[in-house]
Amino acid sequence: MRALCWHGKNDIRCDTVPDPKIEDPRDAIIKVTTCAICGSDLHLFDGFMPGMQSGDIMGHEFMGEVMEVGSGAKDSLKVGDRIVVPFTITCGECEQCRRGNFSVCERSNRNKDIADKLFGHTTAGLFGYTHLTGGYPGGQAEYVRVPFADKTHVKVPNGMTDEQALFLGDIFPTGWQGVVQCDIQPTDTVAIWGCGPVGQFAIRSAVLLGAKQIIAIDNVPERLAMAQAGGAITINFDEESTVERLNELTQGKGPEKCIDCVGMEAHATATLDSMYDRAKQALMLESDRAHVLREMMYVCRPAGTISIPGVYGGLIDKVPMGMVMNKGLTIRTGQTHVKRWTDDLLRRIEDGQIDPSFVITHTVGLEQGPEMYKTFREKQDGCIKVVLKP
Amino acid sequence: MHQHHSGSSQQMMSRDSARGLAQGLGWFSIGLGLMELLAPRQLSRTLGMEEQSGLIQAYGVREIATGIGILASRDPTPWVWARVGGDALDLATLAPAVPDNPQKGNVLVAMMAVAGVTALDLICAQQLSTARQQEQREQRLRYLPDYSNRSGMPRGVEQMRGVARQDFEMPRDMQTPEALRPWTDGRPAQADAGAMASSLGTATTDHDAANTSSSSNLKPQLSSAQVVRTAADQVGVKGGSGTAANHDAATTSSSSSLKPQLSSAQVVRTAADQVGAKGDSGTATTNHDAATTPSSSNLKPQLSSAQVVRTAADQVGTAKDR
Repeated sequence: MRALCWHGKNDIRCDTVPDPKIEDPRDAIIKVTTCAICGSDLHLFDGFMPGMQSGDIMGHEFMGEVMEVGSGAKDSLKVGDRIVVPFTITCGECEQCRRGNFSVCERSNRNKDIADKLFGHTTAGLFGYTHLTGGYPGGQAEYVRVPFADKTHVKVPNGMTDEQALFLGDIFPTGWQGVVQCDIQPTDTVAIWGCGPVGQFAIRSAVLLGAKQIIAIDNVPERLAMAQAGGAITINFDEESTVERLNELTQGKGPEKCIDCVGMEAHATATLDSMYDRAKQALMLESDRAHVLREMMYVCRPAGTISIPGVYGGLIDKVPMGMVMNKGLTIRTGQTHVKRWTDDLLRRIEDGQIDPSFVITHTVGLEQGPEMYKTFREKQDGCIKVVLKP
Repeated sequence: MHQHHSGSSQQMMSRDSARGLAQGLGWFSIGLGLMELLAPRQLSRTLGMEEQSGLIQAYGVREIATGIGILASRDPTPWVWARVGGDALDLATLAPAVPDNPQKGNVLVAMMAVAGVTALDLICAQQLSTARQQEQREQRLRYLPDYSNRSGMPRGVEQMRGVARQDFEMPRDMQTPEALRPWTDGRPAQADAGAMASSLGTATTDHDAANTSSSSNLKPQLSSAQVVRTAADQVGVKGGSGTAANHDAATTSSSSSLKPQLSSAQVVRTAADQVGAKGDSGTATTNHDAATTPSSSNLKPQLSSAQVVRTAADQVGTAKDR
């Protein structure tokens, strides 16, 4: 089969690789009908995440048709079912899964020992996202093996298109959880850093959850236009001071809720700390750039909440913990507990409250994937979300 | 939605290879700079320029700065051109040292090495500049898509504002902790009380007993949800019915001594805090009563008993923490 494989920094190729096979009774094999490139795939493409090996299959946003089901998953799935596959692989039985903390499933990471060493304790296995999280082949391919398939799936109802359902696997629940963990109140101003796909879904989630005012921050005009269409007031940080504008919009008090939809590759601005991060990262003295975190901690209203759905991989420097402590800020973060939200979000799509396909800007074949990684990273051609059709 | 049509992949590869070369030059620059900075005397002796060790150190700082600039910047082009300028400076420094120099051979070798690196710097800088100009041309010509109609909400954004609040069950583990909720004049801010009541509706079934015992003392705007929430927290923490019994005991014993405006919720909350802090509900109840009784009698009228209870609880917590 064909698949997009990682071969090093800035090097993703469309290779021919062996087809997947059932390896465990709880496995299923699906034929991928639609998949996508995620912003967090760019961290692998840019070489910022450790634990990748040449030939690893990329992709953790995918859906398709069930082709084969292991004996242990037959009660939940049958051949021909259309499913979206959450990017977090979940056993559904461990203590964390029973609590709904699916992204820290205790059993699905087959490289648990490595994760234990790196993170202190293991997190869930992920598709196509380094050997630290299991080294599972990803979904930017024609076929995928889905481990724990009896639990790791969302059935797609008839009549719903792939484009409407696909993002239930990651970015929609990720934006949603980022907002939910802020515990939005009707009086809240929510500031969202980053108008990429997760930021776009966070904006719509904040609308659905009833925030009074939503402010979106980015410097790409077309992304800001999409954010505005979703109900946000926008700040272009190339043109105005984020901190000054946020204070102006909140009568000098700062937003109650701040959401980081950017993560470890915050773009350098003209600020000193951004240049510092760039220099330290270039010299391998720091793995993640923390400009957005620092800005959120600075501008957030005292007793406010900071939510971090953006991906961080390792170490950050110069975090103003004094601000966090003295202002009494609450920080909530984590990979998305996808399955916790999908039933509710699926219902909202069916109900017409939201149509997630709004975010798709490019649809191409799998063989154009390597080129699209660059287009997406460089934000060329108005690219916000790339969907691939294997 | 539209199909992709960007610049050719060949141009991208050319730019990528130039960036790769620039990265290599950046590391080389840092390495050379460190050598010049840390071993200026050895270098100056090798080149027969003993009196120039200070200048060599300064050049080392320059090399390190340009190296970091190349590695850290989004666009290394100006930094690579800065290297070309630095190369010229190096050659201009070395050339006058050739005549009458006992280490003439070494100086000539150094000049040849610098000339070689200069050629690499020039090639890299030119490739980067060409690629940058090409990108700028494409940028000017590129089709800027209009996404201003992509709300993602077929029924309109304003129609959808807050629609999920009607039926979304806020998970308990993601709610703002009670202690961090807005608190005004001894009670939660009104805007939040209603919201809490709606978001906590699910807890009522499991904790009817707690609700009933406490809600009669609450002001209308202070939702019984808070009481339920507190009791729910207790049960969640302890995971057993024994705790609920203790909770009732704590509520009963405390509420009788409090003014009407002191909500049972707050008393329960205090007891809950103590239970959580101590890990032993029996002790918590005793401590709580002891803390409340002597303090409340000394209070001014405008100081609500709630505050006293809270203070006592805080003290208990603080004492434990310390």
